[in-house]
Amino acid sequence: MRKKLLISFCAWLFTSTVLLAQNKNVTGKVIDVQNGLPLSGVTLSVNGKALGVSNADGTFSISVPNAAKKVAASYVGYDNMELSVSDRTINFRMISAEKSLNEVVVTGYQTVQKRQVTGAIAIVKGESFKNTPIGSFDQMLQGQAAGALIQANSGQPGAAARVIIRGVGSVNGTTEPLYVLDGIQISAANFSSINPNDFESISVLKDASTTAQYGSRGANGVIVITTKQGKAGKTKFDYNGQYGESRFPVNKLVVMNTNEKLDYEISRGNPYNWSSTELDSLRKINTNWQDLITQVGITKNHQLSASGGNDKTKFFLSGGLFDQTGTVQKTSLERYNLRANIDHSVNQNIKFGLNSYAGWSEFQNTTENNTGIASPLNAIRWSNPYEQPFTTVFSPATLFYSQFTSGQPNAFQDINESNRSTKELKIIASTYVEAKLPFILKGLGIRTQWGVDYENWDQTNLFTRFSNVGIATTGNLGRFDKQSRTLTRYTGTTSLTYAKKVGDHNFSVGVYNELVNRIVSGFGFNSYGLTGNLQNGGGITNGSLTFIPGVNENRTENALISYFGLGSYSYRDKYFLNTSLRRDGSSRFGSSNRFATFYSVGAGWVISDENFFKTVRFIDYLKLSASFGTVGNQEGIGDFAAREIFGPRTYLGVNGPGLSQLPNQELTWEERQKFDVGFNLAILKNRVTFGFDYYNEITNRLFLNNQLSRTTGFTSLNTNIGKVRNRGFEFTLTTENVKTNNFRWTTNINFTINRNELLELTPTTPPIGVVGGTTIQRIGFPLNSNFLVKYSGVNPNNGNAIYQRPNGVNTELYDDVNDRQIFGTRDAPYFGGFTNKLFYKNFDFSFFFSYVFGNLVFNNDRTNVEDPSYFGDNMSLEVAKEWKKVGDITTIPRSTQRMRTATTRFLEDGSFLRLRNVQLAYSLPANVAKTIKLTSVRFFVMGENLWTSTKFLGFDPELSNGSLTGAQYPALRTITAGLTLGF
Amino acid sequence: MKNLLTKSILIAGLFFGTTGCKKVIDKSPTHALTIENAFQGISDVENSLSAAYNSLRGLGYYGRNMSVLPDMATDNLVQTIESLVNFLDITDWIYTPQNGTVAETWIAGFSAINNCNIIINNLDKFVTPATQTRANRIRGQALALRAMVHFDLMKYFADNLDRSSTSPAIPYIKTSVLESAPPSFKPSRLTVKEVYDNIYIDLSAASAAFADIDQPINTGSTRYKIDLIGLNAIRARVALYAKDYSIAINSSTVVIDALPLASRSVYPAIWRDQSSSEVAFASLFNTGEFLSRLAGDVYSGPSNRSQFEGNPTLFATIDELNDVRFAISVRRGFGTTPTPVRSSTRLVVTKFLGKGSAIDGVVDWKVFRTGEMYLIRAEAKANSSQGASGLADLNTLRAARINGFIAGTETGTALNAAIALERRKELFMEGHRWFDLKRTTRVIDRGSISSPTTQATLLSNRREWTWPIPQGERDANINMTQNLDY
Repeated sequence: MRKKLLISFCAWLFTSTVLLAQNKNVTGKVIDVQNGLPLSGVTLSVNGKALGVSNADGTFSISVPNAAKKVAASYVGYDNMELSVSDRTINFRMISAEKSLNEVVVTGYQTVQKRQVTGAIAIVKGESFKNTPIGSFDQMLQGQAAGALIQANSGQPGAAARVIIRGVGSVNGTTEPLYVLDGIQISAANFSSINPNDFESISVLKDASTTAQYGSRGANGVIVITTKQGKAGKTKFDYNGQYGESRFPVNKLVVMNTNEKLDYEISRGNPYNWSSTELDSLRKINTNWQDLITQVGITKNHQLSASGGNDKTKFFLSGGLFDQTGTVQKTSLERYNLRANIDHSVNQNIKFGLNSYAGWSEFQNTTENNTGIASPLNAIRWSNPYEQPFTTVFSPATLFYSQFTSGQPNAFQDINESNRSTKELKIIASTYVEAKLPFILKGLGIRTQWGVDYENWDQTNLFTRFSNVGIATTGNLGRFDKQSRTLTRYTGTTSLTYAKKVGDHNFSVGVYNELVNRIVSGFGFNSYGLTGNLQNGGGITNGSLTFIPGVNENRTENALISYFGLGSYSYRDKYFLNTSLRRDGSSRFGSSNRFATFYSVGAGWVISDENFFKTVRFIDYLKLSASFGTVGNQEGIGDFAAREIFGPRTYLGVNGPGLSQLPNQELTWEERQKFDVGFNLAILKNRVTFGFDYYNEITNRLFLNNQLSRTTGFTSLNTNIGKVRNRGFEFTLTTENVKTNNFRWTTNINFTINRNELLELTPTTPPIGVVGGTTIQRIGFPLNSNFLVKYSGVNPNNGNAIYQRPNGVNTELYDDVNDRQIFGTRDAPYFGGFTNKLFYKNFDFSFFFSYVFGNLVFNNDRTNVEDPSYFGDNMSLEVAKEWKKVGDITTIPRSTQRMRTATTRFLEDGSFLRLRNVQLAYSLPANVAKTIKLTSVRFFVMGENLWTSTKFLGFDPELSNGSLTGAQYPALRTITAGLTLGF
Repeated sequence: MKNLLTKSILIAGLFFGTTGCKKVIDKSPTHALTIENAFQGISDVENSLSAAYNSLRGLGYYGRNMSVLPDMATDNLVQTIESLVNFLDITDWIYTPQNGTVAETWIAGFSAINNCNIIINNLDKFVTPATQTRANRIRGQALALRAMVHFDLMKYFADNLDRSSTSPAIPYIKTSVLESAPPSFKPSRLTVKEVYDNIYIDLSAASAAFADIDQPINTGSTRYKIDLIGLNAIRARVALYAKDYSIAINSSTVVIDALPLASRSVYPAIWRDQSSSEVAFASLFNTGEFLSRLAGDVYSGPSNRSQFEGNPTLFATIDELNDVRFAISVRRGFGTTPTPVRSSTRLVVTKFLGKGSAIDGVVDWKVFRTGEMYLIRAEAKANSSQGASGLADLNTLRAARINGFIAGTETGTALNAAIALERRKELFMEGHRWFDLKRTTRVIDRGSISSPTTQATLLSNRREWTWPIPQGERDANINMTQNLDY
C-alpha cells in the first residue's frame, strides 16, 4: 500500500512536470536582508502555484513557465516578495515581517499568518521589551497591547502586575488572563522566576475566535508566549549584559518636619508634655525617615544564549542571571535560569521536541499597601521627624534601637531585624511528538504534547527577638515562620488534524482533547523563641510551653477536561472562516453542572485583494474581520466551590468539624459572550497602518455573592447570578514618519476605551446593589464604582465637616446609609501607550509612554496622616491648615471632630502619563565588528519610569485595584547601561 | 500499512481514552470534610462542639466585641494618645448601620448559633438507648450555648431589655443553615419577650438534658465547657437583665454554693490562669492557636501600647492598698519594654496580661465567675424586698476582696448604688459596663475628655444605646427592621 501511494505520488509529479513542459530553469539565493544569513525553506511560486523551496544554504533551483513574469517568495515571518524573471538568476533579499501585516501569529496550537486571523490579537515582540530591567515580565506589557490594562501592585523587584484584558468581566472569579508558555499553562502573577529575554513573542488573544482553543480558560483573554527556537545554520552566540541603578521617587504626600510637627502638637495641647528644654533639643533633630530606609537599587543582568542546528535538529540554549536590589532596603530579586529548546525531525513525517526551562529565584520583600504600623513604607510618613533611629542607651531587648515616644515602631529596627524571603524553583517543561500520516491520508496529522508547570516555593519570615514583630509575638523572643508550597500543573493536549487544499479552497479541521490538572500542596510552621545567639531557624527553642509552634499542612486539587473541534476554511487567501465547538468539564462544580458547551465563529475578508478594490490606489491593504462566540471561566473560585466544606475546628485539644462553606450544587461555569468586529488598514505604501476593533463582551452567569441573611451564620453564597458587560474600542496606529537612507522614524500608538456596566443582579438584590466597603456593584454602573459620601468642606463657624446629600443639600450629619453616592469607577476606562523609534545610521533611540485616565481612586493612605486622632505620630502638612477658630476658611475640619474616611475627601484622580522606557543604542558597523571577530555589537543606555505626570498624592499612581490601603512600594526608576554581543 | 494504521488509531485511542474518562474531574477535598464524611458517628457530633466553642473566640465575640468593647465604650476606660483609634466610632457612639464592628459582632453571634444548630440537627441520627446519656451531654451544651449567644446579641441590638419588653430584638434561630435554604431564609425580629421565652426554653431543655449524662462535662478543676453550673450562671445573668429576680437568686445560688469565692491570696492567680477558683465557665485561649490577644486593643504587653487605660475617677474609689482588685486591674506606670513611653502617667490595664508570667495577652476569658453571682444575687434581692440579705451578699464579696473591710450598711437606693459601684470594681474589663449602664441609668458622663476621644456624654435618649441592625443584613433580609432613629 505504501508503495502504491508512492507510485501515484510520483505519477502526479510526473504529470505536473509534463503539463509545465514549456519551462525555463531559474536559480538563485534567498537571504535575510538584515543579517545577510541564508533562509531555507522559503516557498517559491508563480501565480500562487508553489514550485519549490530553498535549501539550507538559501539556494534554490526551480522550473518556471516561460510565460511567467514574476516569481514570488514567501516565508513565515517575512514579507512576501515578488521579483521579475528577467534573468535565470534571481536573489531574494527578504524583509522580516516584524511590525508588518504579514506577521505570523502564534495562537497556541497553531502558527498562522496575521491575515488569516478572524479576531483580535495584539502582538508584542520580545525585542520590544528585551533588557527591560523589570523582574516580572507581565509589567513589561504595560501600554504595549491595545485592550490590556496592566497596572502593577507594587514596584518591588519581582512583583507582579494586575492584567485586565477588555475590562473586568468577573467579580468572584478570576479576572486574570490565561498564560500559556510554549503550549503549557503557567501560573498567573508568578513570573519572578521566569526570564523574559528567552521570549520570542507574546500574543495577546482577546476575542472569541482567537481564544476559542482555550475556551475553558480564555474568558479573560489569553497571553500566549513562545520562546526562542533554534535556527538551522551556523551556531550563533549572543551575550547581553547590563548594569544600572534605581532611585526612590519624590514623595508627593508631604508630611510635617520637626518644627511643623512640634508646633502642631503644641496647638493640640502638647500631649507628651514636652518641657521647653525638651522642645529646644527636639527641634535640633530632623530625621529624614525616607532616606534612612531607602537605598539606591542596583540591577545586574547577564545572559548568554546559543542557537543553531541543521535540517534535522535545532536547538536554542540559554542561561542567565538577573540580580536586582530595590529602592527600599532588604528588597531584592536574584534569579538564575537555564533553557533548552530542542527540535528533531526523524524524517519528513515525524518530529518531536522539548522545551524546558528551570529558573530559581530568591525574592526578598517588605510589607506594603497595608495599614500596619510596622510596615516600613508607612513609617516614612508616620514616624515623627524628631525621633532618631538609635539611642546611646543599650537595652538587652532592643539593642541600640530607639523606642519612640508615640509607640510607633522604629522602622529602621524593623528593617534590620527582620527578613522576608521567598525562594522559588520553577520548572516549565513540555515535550511533543507530531506525525504526519500521509500514508493514511495526505494532510492528516496527529500531535500530542504533555508538559508541566512546577513550582516549589519556600517562604521564610524571620523576626529576630530584637524586632518589633519578634517582641510582640508568642513568647516575645523572636519568630521564625516557614511556608512551603508545591504546585504541579500538568497539561496534555492531543489532536488529530486534517488539512486539504482543493483548488482555491483551503480546509483544515482538528479534533482535540485536553487535560489540565493542578495540585497544590503545602506545609508550614510558625516557631518562636530565638533565645540564643542564633537569630534564624536554627535558634528555635523547642520543648517549651512558652514557645509552642504552630504547624499546618494542606493540599487541594482541580482538573479540567476538554474535547473540542476547530475548523477553518479559506478561499483564495482572501476569505477566511474559523469555527470552534467545545465541551468542557471542571472538577470545581457539582456533578450535574460540570460540563458546558462553548463555540465560536469568526470571519475575515481581505477586501484590498478584490479586483474592484485595486482602483483604490492609496490603500494597500484592508481587511475586515468579525467574530462571535462564548468562552468559559471557572477559575478564581475555590477548588470545591460547589460543595459544603467542614473545616477542622479545635477547642480544648479536640478537633471537630465546623461548617466553613455553604454548598451550591447549582454552581456552574461563568460564560463570557464575545463579539468583535474590526479592520486593519495600510495606506501610503504600508507606511501607515491602522487597526480598529469594537468589542462587546457580556459575562453571563456571573459568580456573585448572593447576599444572605447573616442569621444563617454566613454573609453570602457564591451563585451564578448577574450579568456584566464590557464594550469598547481599540485603536492602533503605526506610522513610518521618515524613511531615508540614514534616518528612520516610526511611531506606534495604541488606545483603548472600555465601558464596563453591570447589567443584572439577582432578583432579590435590593436596588441599592451590593456594597463592599467603599465600593458598590449596582445595575447600570461599572463594577467597583466608588460609593462614598460627598465631602464639601468645612463650616467656618464651627469647624465641622460638611457633607452634601444626594439632593444637593449640605449637611453636617454624616449618614453613610442614605447619603452615599456613586463617584466614578476605579478601573481606568481609557488607557494605552505610544512609542517612538528613531534610527540614525548606527544609532537608534526610542521612547515609550504608557497612560491611563478617567479612573477615580481611593487614597486610604492619606486618611492615616490626615486623621486628627493620629496626632501622636507624624501628620500630613495639610493638617496644619485645620479649622481652629470661627471664621477660618479651610478644607480641614476641626481636630476635635471624628474624621470620616468614606467620603470624597480622599477620592483622587488616578490618571497618569509615564515615560515607561527610553533607550539609546549604538551598533557597531558590521565590518568593524568583524575585525574583532564578532557578528554584532550593540551598546545601550536605558531608562525605566524616569518621568511620571500625575496628581495622585502618593509615591506612585499605579494602583492595581483602585484603592491605596497604605503606602505602596513605588515603581522602580532605573537607569541601566549594557551591551549585546553576537558571535 | 494496515499495521501502521491500526497502530495510529491505537495511539490516538490511547490518548483520547486515558483522558476521556469523566473520572479525571471527579475530585474531593482531602484536607477538609464534606457532609458525606463529617458526621459518621456520635463522636463526630461531640467533636463538633469544638466548632461551637471555638466560634466564641473570634474578634466578633470574646476575642474583643463581647469582652473588652463594652468597657471601651464607657467610662471605665479612657482612650489615650497611643490609641490607633480603630474603634473610635464605637467608643464615641457615632456608629451607623454600616459600621464594621457592629456587622462583625452580628455575624459572629449567628455563626456560633449555627454551629450549635448543626450539632443539634445532626445529633438525632445517632441517638439510641445506648447513646442517650451521651447525646444528652452534647445536646445540653449546644442548647445552653445557643441560648447564651442569643442573649448576648440581644443585649446589643435590642432597646429595652425588660422581660416583657416589646422592643424588637433578634430572630431566634433553631435550624442550621444546611436545613434552611439560605437565599430565601429571611427571619423577622422577635420581641425581647419572645427571645427571653426561647432562651428560657432552651435553658430548661439543657438543664433537663444535663440531668442524665454519661460522664462529667468538665474534668479536673477547670470549666472550659458549659455544664450544669455554667448553665445556672447563664440563667442567673439572663434573669437579672429580665428582672426575674427569683430565678436570678435561685440560679446564682447554685453557682455560689458549688464554687465559693476565691481567697485574696488565690484571687490574683485566677487572672494568670494559675487557678480556676470561682470560674463557672471560661473560654479557653491558648498560645499556638493563632488567637487574638485578649484585650490587645486595650493594652498590648508585647508592643507595650496602652490604647485605653483605667479611668482615674473609678480607681480613686478603689482602695489601692487593701483591695486586691486594684493591682489586678491596673498598674501605675507599667510597661513591658525597658523604656516605657509616658511611663509615669499611665494607668495600664493589666487584668489580661497573660498566663503565668507571660505578657502576651493570651489568657482565658472568664465568662462567669462567682463574684458576679454574688452581685447578681445582691441586686436581685435588693430589688425584691430582701435588701438586708442583698447587703449581706455585697458585704461577703467586699470582705473577700478588701483586706480589713468593715461591713457596709447601705440600704435602699444607696444599696443599689453600692452594688452598681461594686460591679464596676469587681467586673472591670469583663464585658459588663456598657450593658449595666444600658439596663440601669442609661447615661454616660466621661467628664473632661482629651483627644482622640471626641464625645463626653451619652444621654439616655440617644439612639446609640441600641446598636443598629447591620445594613448588610437589612439589604439581604427584607424582613429585618431597623432600630429607632437609624
